[in-house]
Amino acid sequence: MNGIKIVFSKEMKRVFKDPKMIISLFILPVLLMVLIYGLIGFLTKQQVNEEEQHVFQVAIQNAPADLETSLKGFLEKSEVTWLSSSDSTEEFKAGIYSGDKDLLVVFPADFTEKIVSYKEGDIHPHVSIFFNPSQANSNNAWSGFTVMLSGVYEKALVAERVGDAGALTAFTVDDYDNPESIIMNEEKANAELLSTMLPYLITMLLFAGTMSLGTDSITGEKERGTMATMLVTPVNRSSIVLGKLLALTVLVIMSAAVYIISLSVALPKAMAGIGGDMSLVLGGEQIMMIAVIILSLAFLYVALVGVVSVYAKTVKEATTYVTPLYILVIVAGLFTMVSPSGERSVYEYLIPIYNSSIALGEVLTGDLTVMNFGMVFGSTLVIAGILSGIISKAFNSERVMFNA
Amino acid sequence: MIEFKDLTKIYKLNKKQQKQMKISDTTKIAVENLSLTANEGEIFGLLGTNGAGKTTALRCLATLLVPTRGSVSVNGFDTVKDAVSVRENIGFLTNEIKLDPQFSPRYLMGFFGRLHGMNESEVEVRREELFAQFGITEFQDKKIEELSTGMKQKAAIAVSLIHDPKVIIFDEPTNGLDIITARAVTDYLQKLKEQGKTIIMSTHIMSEAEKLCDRIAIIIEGKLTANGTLAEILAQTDRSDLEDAFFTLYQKHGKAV
Repeated sequence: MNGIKIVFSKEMKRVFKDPKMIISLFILPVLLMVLIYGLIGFLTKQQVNEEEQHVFQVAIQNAPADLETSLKGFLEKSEVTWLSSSDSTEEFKAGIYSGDKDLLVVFPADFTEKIVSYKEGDIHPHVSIFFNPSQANSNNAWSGFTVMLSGVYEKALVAERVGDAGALTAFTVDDYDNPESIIMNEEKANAELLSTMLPYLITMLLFAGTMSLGTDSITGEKERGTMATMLVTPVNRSSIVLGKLLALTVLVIMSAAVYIISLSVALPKAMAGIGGDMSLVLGGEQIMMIAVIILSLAFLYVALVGVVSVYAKTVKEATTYVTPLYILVIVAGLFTMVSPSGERSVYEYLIPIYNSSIALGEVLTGDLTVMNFGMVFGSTLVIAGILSGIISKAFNSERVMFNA
Repeated sequence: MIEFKDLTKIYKLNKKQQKQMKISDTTKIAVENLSLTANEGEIFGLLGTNGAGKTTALRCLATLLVPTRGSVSVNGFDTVKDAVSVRENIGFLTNEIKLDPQFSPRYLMGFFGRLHGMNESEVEVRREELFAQFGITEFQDKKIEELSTGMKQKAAIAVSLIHDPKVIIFDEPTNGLDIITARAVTDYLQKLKEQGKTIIMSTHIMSEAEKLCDRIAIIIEGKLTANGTLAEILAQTDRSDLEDAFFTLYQKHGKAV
């Protein structure tokens, strides 16, 4: 026990005495989070403002006389070029292609006559609409115009035809944004969004912190020759291993905590820029579950990187072997983003890394049961324990430690 | 007391190592049937060329390597069966073993002292003694990476002796040291010998071995070719100094240069 404490203390000191380590583990993450998400928020807000303030560049050819009145709401926000049938539309189409113009609407020259003289069996006049779906403004112009064209103008024309506007409607339905229709737990709604993003970010950030620390602590010491000085002391080899792994786990969690706190400050600010709300209030039990899951996951990562590091001959080699593991971690995290929430099979709570990721998400939404929590924690700890045992065994192997 | 009994250490070579050494064998015999004893109150010298097997023998003694055949013991404790007891009794220093560059000699003395089960006051007393002996006081708080080669070596020697071991294993202890410091080290080894410690050291410096060692073993290509006092070795080889004696043995037992 004493050996574990002594080695643990030295490992912690080694990191905190190194300014480069402190910067990369604790200061850089804060700067990165604030910068990245601040930039995202700023750019997103700018884009939203630009779209809101944009005046649609619209051309309408052969516009019926009563169109302007019916589409007043849309046309007020637009700069309209009225084209007659003799005017060419090619220049405007070129403008849509290049992104300078948004929408071209072409009514047939005989539109009004066909509407007025319509009888059963006649072919309806066709209105052609030209737009650029890859341009946000053009897209918005299309949806704004077509909604008003079908929902207002066409309805008005048909109402004139049948004489009774009420005959066009069999029943009414609540609008999407009718406040009385909405039955929503706002917190849970926010949590649903966070539960797809945060677990992925947390699992990824935890591993990123482990990679550099772990390879230096084990392979780095072997390479520098400082490991052997410890191995000739009477301290149990497994105590040396545990001291290192525990110190690494604590450091990784500290680094991750810095990331998470920075994220929790920077992300809502980014979302506020686009009118989103990422506020979330967690209960004591949820916080405890999150802390325990992160702790066990950090230990698993440290043990995983430790196994790779102990068998690698150089830090460069260790980093090469650890990188594919990082990709695996990212994939596991991505899976939780795209996998459907709801009822899961038992085995999902036993797959390492993936289980921690889904458990973190379910804690946020309040869906994680005690049994599933226990399975995630237990299985993660068991695997980490097995890997720690492998590392201890390797520490006793002269071939592994001294390339003998 | 140190006892080597028919120590043999065979390394398995991988393909890369075979290619590097330009041999087709899959094994390399580093040490073969080495038997010798170093007694209490004695400085025992191990001489040999690079790759002769000295470091392998010392590493087996220090419990870092496991003998392929034979055994090594320290004060009756077998290095394989009682490795922890052996480590309690030894101080080990070799060029390949380094001190953590981030820390100061002061911190490292404390760290290794605690690993050897010493309490703070014991560490403090011993630290001051060794600092004074090796002139480390002036740079005790500097990081190892900031020290010169000589300073690093002094710090490494001091760290290996922090727990006042009964058996001292030094692999070229004066390597990189200036003449003044080298003398301080050899004087200290004499002092330790007078205290009844068992000291085994390897060296390339013949004059050092002649002056310091009570008995000498000469290892050539993993095999013991001479073992005894300086006078006995000179008589065995019919030479007047150790260097000539060494070359005589090398010409007899070694591969052609």
